[in-house]
Amino acid sequence: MFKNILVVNRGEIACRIISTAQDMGIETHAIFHHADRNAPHVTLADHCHEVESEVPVAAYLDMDQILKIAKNAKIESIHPGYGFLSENPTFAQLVEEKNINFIGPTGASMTLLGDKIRSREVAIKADVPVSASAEYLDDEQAFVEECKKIGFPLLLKASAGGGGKGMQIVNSAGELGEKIQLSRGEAERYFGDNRIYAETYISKPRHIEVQILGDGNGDVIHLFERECSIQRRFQKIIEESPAPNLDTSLREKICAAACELAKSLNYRNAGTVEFIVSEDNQYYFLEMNTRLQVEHPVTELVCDIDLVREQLLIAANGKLSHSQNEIVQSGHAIESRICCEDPNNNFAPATGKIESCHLPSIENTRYDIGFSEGQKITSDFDSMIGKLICYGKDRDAAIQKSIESVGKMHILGIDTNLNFLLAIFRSKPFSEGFLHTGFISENQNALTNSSIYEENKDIAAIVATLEDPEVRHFMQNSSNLHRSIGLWRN
Amino acid sequence: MTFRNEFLIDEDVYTVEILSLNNEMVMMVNGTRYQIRRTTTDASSTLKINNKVYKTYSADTKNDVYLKVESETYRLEKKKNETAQSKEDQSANNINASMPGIVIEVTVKEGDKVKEGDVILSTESMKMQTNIIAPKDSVIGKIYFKKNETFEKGAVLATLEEM
Repeated sequence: MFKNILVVNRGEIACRIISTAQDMGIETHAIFHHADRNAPHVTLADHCHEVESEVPVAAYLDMDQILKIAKNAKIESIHPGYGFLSENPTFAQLVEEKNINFIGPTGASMTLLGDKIRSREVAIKADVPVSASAEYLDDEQAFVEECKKIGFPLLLKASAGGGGKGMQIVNSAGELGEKIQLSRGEAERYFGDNRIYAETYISKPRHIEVQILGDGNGDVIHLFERECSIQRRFQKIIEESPAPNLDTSLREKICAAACELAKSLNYRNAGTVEFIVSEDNQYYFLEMNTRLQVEHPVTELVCDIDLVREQLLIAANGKLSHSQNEIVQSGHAIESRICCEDPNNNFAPATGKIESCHLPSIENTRYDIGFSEGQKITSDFDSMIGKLICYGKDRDAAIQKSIESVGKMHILGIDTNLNFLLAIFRSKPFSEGFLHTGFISENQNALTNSSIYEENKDIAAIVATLEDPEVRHFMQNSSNLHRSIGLWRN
Repeated sequence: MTFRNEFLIDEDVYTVEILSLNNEMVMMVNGTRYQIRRTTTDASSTLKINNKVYKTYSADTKNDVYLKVESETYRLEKKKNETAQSKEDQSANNINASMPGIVIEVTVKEGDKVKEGDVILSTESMKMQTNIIAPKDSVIGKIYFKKNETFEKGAVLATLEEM
């Protein structure tokens, strides 16, 4: 096994990776920007290295400085986490050229799978179904014609993209021109690559993905599926495993398809094959992510496997430590992404300071977090600050555990989505488990007007009054006799 | 006159009047009477209000009080802290940021004539892109931010002048 590891990420995922590496006896190194100097991942790592940059986010993308740090610290392996450099083939290649183990796939398979158009070709070759699609090739008029053939509504997506960036729903031919410009503009800004493509928009689609592990020599196993249909702004906020109400034979087909695709590339590392599942149980390849996913913990809980550990073992040994028949899906796990945002204002990201927080220890509850009390949340980084993962013997138990845990934790001083998560877990449509990616917009009203929340607004006003500095001062400094007379103001 | 406190919760006004701060406190919230007993006073506070028990946590920021009351989280905006400055910032001729973010593109210059709906700035807040558009036909007065500069919620991004 490696003597040491450099984790080139921040927040909850850096903490998550560092913890497993430490458990395995590997010396851990972290990087940080000045803005993160007091962040938990810096405190947790055995060694940390500052990367300088004007814009904080740029520090975690600075390949030159990172490689220099790796060289000076005689680093043997680099884990990129998710986001940042995790799916940058140039970085993966540079790391390997320096004879450092990159905890991920080869640069070549990353390049192939990172491109939505080329990855579709990989899927087609592996006999994995894909939906109707058209590619923008310089000629806008030709693309418009292709789009009309697909029919409306359709979805525009950035070829190089992910995370909902560059994505636009087009409802009619009349909207095409404007939406193409928006999509290309966003694609250019985020990925420096303005190529886009269009595909059929499937109504009430489910987003179901399969976790796989590949050894790089053709051996691939799957760790079953995750349902990731609860999304806002095209980004997941609740994920679970197993997917509820999923036909057993469909589950088997999707998992097998994911393995076939990965096998066809001799894929190495943990990976995720994402599918769209239609109401009539058709499934289509969406994309393959070549990194550890945000939502990997739900798989870890139902399969009782540490995916970071598996990634490290694959990178070090070049073989899988489990065979397919050893992988069993047992119980149910649900992940909630804790985000600093305002659900009542289109989930606009919020900034501020975590003045007070408490995450109580509860059986079958896991927190993957990268924040602590006193930490400032700025617009420099993502609004997702941590995750809550709850486990139960079945889906109902996992939902009840989620309600209990979200209800008992507190994060105060900044807007969060905790109430919104609670409202989802308490809602009937969620507990029935017929999910699709439009779930939140379809149930928006029910989810933002919780009756328990409304009932206790008077109580909240009373509590806030008791916290008023003037009131507190009065109560601490006056006798009962005076208090009974009342608090008088000049 | 008795002590009065006003808060905004989701844009609704909550007026609290303290009638008594004896061991059994009495307050009126928007005209409803509550009897309150407090049992602990650290980070968490357990309150018995009209014979129901509530576990609460609180954190105070400059403009808001954040609370956890049982399972729910609340943000109460302190009404009395509204300053003259913030009112001025929100005057009709200012373009304010509805959320914190970064400027991606400034598409006009100071002194440019713009029509209602014209894009003044493209901004992005973490992962969401928004175009800031002119609310009416006008002339661009000042633009306070350049490309790649970040701003906070409520910041004045630009001012408009009459045509």
